[in-house]
Amino acid sequence: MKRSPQTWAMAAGAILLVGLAGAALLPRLALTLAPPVAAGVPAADPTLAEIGSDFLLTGAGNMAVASTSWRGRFVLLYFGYTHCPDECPTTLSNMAATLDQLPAAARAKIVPVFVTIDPERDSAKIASDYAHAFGADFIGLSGSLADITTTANSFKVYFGKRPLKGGDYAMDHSSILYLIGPDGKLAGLLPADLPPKDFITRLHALGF
Amino acid sequence: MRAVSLAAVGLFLATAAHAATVAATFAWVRAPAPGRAVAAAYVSLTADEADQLVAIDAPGVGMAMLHESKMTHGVASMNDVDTLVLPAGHTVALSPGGMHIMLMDIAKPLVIGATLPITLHFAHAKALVVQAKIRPVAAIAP
Repeated sequence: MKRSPQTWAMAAGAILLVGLAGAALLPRLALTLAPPVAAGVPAADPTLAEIGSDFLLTGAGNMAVASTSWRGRFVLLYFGYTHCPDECPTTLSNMAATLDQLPAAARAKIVPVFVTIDPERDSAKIASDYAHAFGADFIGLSGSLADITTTANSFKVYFGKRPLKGGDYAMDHSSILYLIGPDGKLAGLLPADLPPKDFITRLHALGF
Repeated sequence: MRAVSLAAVGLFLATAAHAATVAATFAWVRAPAPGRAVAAAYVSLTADEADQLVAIDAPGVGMAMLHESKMTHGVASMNDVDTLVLPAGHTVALSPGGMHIMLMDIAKPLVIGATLPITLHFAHAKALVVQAKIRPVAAIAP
C-alpha cells in the first residue's frame, strides 16, 4: 500500500494546522494512532502489555529480519529517520555511548535496533548504513510504508510529515526508546535523552 | 573649528569601539549520516548588545537555516525558525535536541576533524565567521 503524495501532503498540511498541541486530534489523520506514550511508565503498568508486537522488516543486504530472531536477548528499539540531523543522531549517539559503558558480557545481551519511519527516503541499505554509524552491531531496518506503519502502530509510535522551507520535509515522530525483554515482551520505556549513568540505572530497573 | 573636528573624531572612535559584536564559542558540526546531505551545527552566541541572528551560510552548503527540535508529549518535531533573539550579555546556546543550524544540500562530504567556516549574519552586529569543528555523526556534545 503506497500513499499518494496528495495524501501525504494533506496529512502534513493537517499537522501544520492543528499543531502538535492538538495531539489529541491526530487520530483523525490517516497516519496516526493512540495518544503519545509518556516516558517512564513503570513495568507494572498494564498498558505496557498492549504496546509492541513482533515484526518482520528489511535490513542490510535487503534481507528479511524478524524480531523473533532476537529471543534470549534484550532489544533496545528506536524509531527515527536518517534525514533527521539533530534529534535522532543525538538519541542514537547517547544510546551508543551508554552501551559502550556496559561490561562486555552485559553488552552482548542487548541488540540495538533502529527502525525508520521515513521509508520513502530510507531504503533498507540507507537505514542499515545509518545504524552502523553508531555501532558495528546496530541494526537498521526499513520496509514498505504499510509494514512500517503496522510496526509503528503496534508500538504506538506516531509519525507524520512536516514540510520545510525549500520543499523538503521533516518527520514528526515519537522519540522514545523501547526495551524489549528476552521473551519478546516490552520490558519498559526510556526517555530519549537520559545521561548514560541514569540510562544504565534505568535499564537495570527494567530487568536488564 | 579644530576642537569640533577633534570632537567628531572622538565620537567616531567611541562609536567604532562600541560597535555591536557577537562572540561565538563551542561551534561544531555533527557530520551527516552516511550517504545523507543534511547535518546540524551548534554554537553558543553572546551579543554585547541586543541583536538577532537572521541568516546563515556556509561554503558547499545549499541551504543553512535555523531549526528547533521540540518534544511534545514524547513526539519530536523540527520547526523552521526565522530569527534567533540574542539578548544583550546573555549566552544563547544552540545545542543537540534544541535550537540548531540545519545544513542542507551539502555538496561534498564533510571531513571529520576539519572545520567548516559558517557565516552568521546579524540584524546589527557585523557578520561573523565561525570555524565549526566537524565531528562524527555519533559524536556526543562536547
